Amino acid sequence: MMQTQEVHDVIVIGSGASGGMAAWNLTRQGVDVLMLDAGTRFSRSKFWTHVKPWEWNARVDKGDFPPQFYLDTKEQPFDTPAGQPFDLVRVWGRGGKTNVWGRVALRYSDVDFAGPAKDGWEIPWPIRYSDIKPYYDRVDQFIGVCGGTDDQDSLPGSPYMLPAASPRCGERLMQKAAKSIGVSIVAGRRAVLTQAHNGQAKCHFCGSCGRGCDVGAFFNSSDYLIEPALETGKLRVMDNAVVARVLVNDEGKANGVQYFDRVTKEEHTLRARVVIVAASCIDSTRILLNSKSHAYPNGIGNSSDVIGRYLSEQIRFHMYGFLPELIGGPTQNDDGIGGEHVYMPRFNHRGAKRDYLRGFGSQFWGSGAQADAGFAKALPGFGVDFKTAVKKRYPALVALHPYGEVLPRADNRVLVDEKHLDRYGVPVSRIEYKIGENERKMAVEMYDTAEQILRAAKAEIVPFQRGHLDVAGSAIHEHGTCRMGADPKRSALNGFCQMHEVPNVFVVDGAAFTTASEKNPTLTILALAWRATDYLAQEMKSGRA
Amino acid sequence: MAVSTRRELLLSIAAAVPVAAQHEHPDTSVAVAYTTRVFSADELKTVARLVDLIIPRTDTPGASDAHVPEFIDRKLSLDAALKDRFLAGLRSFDGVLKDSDPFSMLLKGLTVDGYYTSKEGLTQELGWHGNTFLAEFEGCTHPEHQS
Repeated sequence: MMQTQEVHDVIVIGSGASGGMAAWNLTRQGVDVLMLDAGTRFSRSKFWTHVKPWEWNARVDKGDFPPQFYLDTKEQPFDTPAGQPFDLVRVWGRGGKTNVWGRVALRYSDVDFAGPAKDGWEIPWPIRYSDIKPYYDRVDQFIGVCGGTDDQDSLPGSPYMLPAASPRCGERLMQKAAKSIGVSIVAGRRAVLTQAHNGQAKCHFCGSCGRGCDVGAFFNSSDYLIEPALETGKLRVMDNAVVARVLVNDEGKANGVQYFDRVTKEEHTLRARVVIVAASCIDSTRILLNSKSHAYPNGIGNSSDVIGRYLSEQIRFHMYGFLPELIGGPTQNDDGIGGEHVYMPRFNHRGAKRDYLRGFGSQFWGSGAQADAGFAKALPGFGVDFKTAVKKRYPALVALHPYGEVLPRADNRVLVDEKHLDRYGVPVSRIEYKIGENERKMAVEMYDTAEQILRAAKAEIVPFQRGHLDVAGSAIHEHGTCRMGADPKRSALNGFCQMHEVPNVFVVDGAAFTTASEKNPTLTILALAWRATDYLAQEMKSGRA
Repeated sequence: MAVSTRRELLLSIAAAVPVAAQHEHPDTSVAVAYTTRVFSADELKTVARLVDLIIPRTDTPGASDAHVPEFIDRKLSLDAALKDRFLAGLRSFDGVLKDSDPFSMLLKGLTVDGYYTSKEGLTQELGWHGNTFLAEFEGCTHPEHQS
């Protein structure tokens, strides 16, 4: 149903880190933005940040539920081939996954950006650290990132850090143990406010960030980007607008979007001069592939057939141990800023050449006293001895979670399934993804490293199954399906997240990444989206867009 | 660890009739009512006995003091596959908890989940005092832990 209607300057699809950044940066430069969010705003006052674990069931029995952040796959299914599961986590609603994200805020370095050009696997990144560094600096200052100012080739420091969260005992001891075998574990970089910053409240160290922060003390797109953008009067947010397609005119330029109202299921179209796709990697890719037209039978901007391909997530596993210095000791409040206060940067690019490409780092969340004792399932026995064994080990738990890069491969891909339609009649995503020999070789060193650190700490190691990896998608770090590059035959976007083929479409989320790296992507998504929209604002001012 | 007799343990579990279980709370003497959704009265008793063999009452509450049988009942009511697996395991259980036995491990896992997220298990047994408001987080203050 086509209507004569208002033509918006810019439509932003999605309200997470990338969409929020695009809207904030454009509106403050005077550009009118209409943001389409697939859900509604999550109310902070309804977060269960301070509901104790034993209170949950009674509340649910009374019909009192926490915010339903996570999209139910019954509402929005996706397909995977038999035997190739993919755990896709989506948050539809204002702020998207930043409401509940892990807050690890690492800068990529030239070990990442220049890596593909050096090792020759797939295409090079079109940008280097020097291109994005000014934007990392701005993001750090704007959102507030606490932690390490130390600098190494695989993990750049930042002069703009808020004070680091003090490591817990277990983390200190792990740092010490790792150092003894030549591995550095540094202060983490986390987007949590260890002091009040830019009008946002300081963290109160309750450790329940995963249920949403009731005071907004860590970066989330809704409070930090969208609210200030709304204050400019230049932003309008449309709730419950589930975008299906980007529409094009006869000249092959984008001229709007088609969306469905999530409540009424009615179809609508909107007109725009520029469309920014920021619906998160997989959902953005689905929109692009479903945007078929005479000009783009393969999906908008996809004559190269790269869109949907090169899906890269990360491999990950978990290893646990109990530190002898802490076994039987007092229980401390180890909540801190929630998650780890330290990080093990990539080191395998140094020393002997490995028999695999790319690298891995490690996180340490879940070390110290937790609000459960799941580790107890791995302890033997029953009865008083068992109960005593659990209690003694409870304060002594340390956890390692190594994350490794997955190489981009053409056959790791997202497609749209014309035979499987969602409730609006729009084809759903089909995710075909598996890891390869390179990742299996890397996992060997990842396991060796984690075990060596625990052995150096003289830890009692919880039995593990060597080689086991989490189900694909679990890291929630999807990248690469609309990658940037210099060559329009092998990439969909230029270094400013702008489509080679359709210059008034920008894709600013994880889909734009040329490679996944081993690092958590959100800080880089924010920096890339800021840079892309600076470029777009300039193009609009000069009349080129 | 063996329980007294298999016969004593394996009570009639033919009909899963919801029952109201009354537990005298050991610390506060507050009676907590819970209407079972899956277990019959006999099953609830059996499960209570089993979870107390896994985590008994010591100077701190045991698993049934912390309402772990009710926790398990609720959990099973939300997951049909788990419920079937659990009840089948319970019916064919030989009465001896073993780390090599799938039902023992299922029960142990559920007991751990229930007990160590209960107020009794978390605060009285483990001494957890988190999820609160702190002005500052000190972290490790032990000089001997520094690198």
